[in-house]
Amino acid sequence: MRRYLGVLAALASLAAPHSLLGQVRFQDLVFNLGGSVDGYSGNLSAVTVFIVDKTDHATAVVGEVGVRGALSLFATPTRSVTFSFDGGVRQAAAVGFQLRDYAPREWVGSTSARITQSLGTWGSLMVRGGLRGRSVEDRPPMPLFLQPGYTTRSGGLGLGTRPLGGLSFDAQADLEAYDYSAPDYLPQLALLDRSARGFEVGVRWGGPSTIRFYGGLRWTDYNNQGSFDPTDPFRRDHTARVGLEWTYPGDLFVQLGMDGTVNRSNSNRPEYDAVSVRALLTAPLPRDFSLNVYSVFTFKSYVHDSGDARLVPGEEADNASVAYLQIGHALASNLDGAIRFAWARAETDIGSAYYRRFGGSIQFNYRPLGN
Amino acid sequence: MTSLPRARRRFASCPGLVLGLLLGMGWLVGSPEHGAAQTAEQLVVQRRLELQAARDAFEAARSAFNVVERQFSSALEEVTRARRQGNKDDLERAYALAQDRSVPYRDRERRLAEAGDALVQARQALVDVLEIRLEQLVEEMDAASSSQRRGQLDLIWRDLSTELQQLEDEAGDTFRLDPVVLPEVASDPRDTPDDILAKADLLERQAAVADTLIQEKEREIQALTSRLRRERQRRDLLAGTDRFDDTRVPVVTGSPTGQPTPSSDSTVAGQRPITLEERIQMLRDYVEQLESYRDQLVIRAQVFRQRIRSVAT
Repeated sequence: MRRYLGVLAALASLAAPHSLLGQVRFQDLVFNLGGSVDGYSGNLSAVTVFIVDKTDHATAVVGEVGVRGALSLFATPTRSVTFSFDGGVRQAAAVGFQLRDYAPREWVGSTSARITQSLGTWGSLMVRGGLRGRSVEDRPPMPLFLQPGYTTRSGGLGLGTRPLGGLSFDAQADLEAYDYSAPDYLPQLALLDRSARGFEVGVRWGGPSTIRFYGGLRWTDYNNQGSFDPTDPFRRDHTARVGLEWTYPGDLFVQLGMDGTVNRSNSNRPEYDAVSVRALLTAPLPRDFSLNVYSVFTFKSYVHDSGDARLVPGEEADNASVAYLQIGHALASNLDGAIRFAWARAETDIGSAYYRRFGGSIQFNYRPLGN
Repeated sequence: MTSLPRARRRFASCPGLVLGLLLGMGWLVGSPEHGAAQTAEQLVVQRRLELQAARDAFEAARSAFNVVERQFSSALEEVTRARRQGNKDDLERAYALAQDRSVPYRDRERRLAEAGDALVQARQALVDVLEIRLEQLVEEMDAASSSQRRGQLDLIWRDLSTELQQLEDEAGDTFRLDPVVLPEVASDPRDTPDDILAKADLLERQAAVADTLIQEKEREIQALTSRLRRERQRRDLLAGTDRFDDTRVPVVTGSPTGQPTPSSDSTVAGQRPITLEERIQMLRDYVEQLESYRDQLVIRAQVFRQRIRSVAT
């Protein structure tokens, strides 16, 4: 993972031609420090975790540091090049298991570059590419679920128009590949390796509050998962998604969205229909405090019954939802503090298995450049 | 030159172009004297003239308003002077004068607002037809038989594109700050002590107005800074939850957490709206100007008062 981050840093330096270095400026640079206490419960098993512990309750004390930023490498009225990065490490001390205590450590890093080109009076074209990676040491058993390590590569092309008669159109196409690099002792992790491509088109109207209606298609290939069909042996999903999003920007920021998904596959097991509802709210509070709420609730219905309950929370659970509530306050002109509460739940109809996480954390965000 | 019927066929291939076509048709229906065969190019010329006329009318309305505003302010100063001198006859005459001058003042103020509205409409009408013409030019360039012709069309396209950009900038500049202009209050050797005192009072009143404006702008800066901080805290929340994959939920693909699409991205080249940071910086620069303006007024008022003292001694 650290070697991977080094490669990203080298790519970042190559991405900035020397003749343009004079124009390089930070759009954002934020250092983050946080600590939390999280409680985990549930009896949902995960196919990607090879240790099984009989407990259904665990607790973790967690510390994390991170940095993220965006660099404008080049910017003119018609073209801009932006480079973004995000990385961090999270260390937990997990207790409550019957076998032993664990000390999982997560390393994460991502980077992306984006080129935006104006298309005159039409609008603009955007090209982007990105890498993301994550590794986990001493990964604990359920119910303390941590996403396994992986690397992803992604690229995309986007087009957005200027408002035409009050309507703005946008379209995006993208490719991505997930590689979980399954170790010898956990070959089933390779089941999650996949590649996907898709597109989405949208139209937005209104102002200052806007509504965006969008729809898209996505094709995903799981080359390590069988379809149980000898003539078409590997799992291939195709997914249709339509949604509506309403955004009100202002002192009170509100964004509400709802979308429906239909997933069909050459393998019966993962065919499902789903509805997802999400909300994002930012509101001022007295004494210069602020409230942020973010939630996503997903309701999922499988087309075919399956006796296989070994699901991956966050990947294929029947229903999964997350909610965050954060109260923030400025501690100095370039230092923000926040108390954050998080809740997540995933469940399956099979045997009423579920997974739940609830925790509270304190977060500090420092902007050394004041931007 | 592309005829409108041919352009109409091309516009029908895209919703945006259809909208443009409708705008063009709307104009044709509303102006029968020009005939149905009028081209978008002719429309551009026509609407440029209309915009120029609207600009001229607006400037004329503003000049006329400035004249009556100055007269009205002068009448108000007369009222102040008469009140200070305690001369009832002068005060009544001054009140009557101010009353008389308030009528044309209100009238010119209303006309200025109407001329402003007409200017906005004329500008938008030109923007609409320029968009249509630019689309036509792109098609004509594609169909051009020689590189020379293509080059000529490209030059026209660039000129029109620049013109459109300027018009949109002009129209979109809703965040406008009034320029700081010092009032024309000058020392005159023929001034009596009362005149000098009145001028000093006027300057001090202007300084007080500037002070109020400074306080108002500082409150605005404070409100925007609070809003900017809340936006940052929201970004911190989303970035923090995404970093360690804590928000991974099933079936939600794409960009569920409000990641920008090209049309909503504030950094899209060529159409970037003014950011909160830029608004705050502009306001800070403006407050600096206002403070300098206020200080100059106070200094000039002090000079007038010193002159009164020197006349008195």
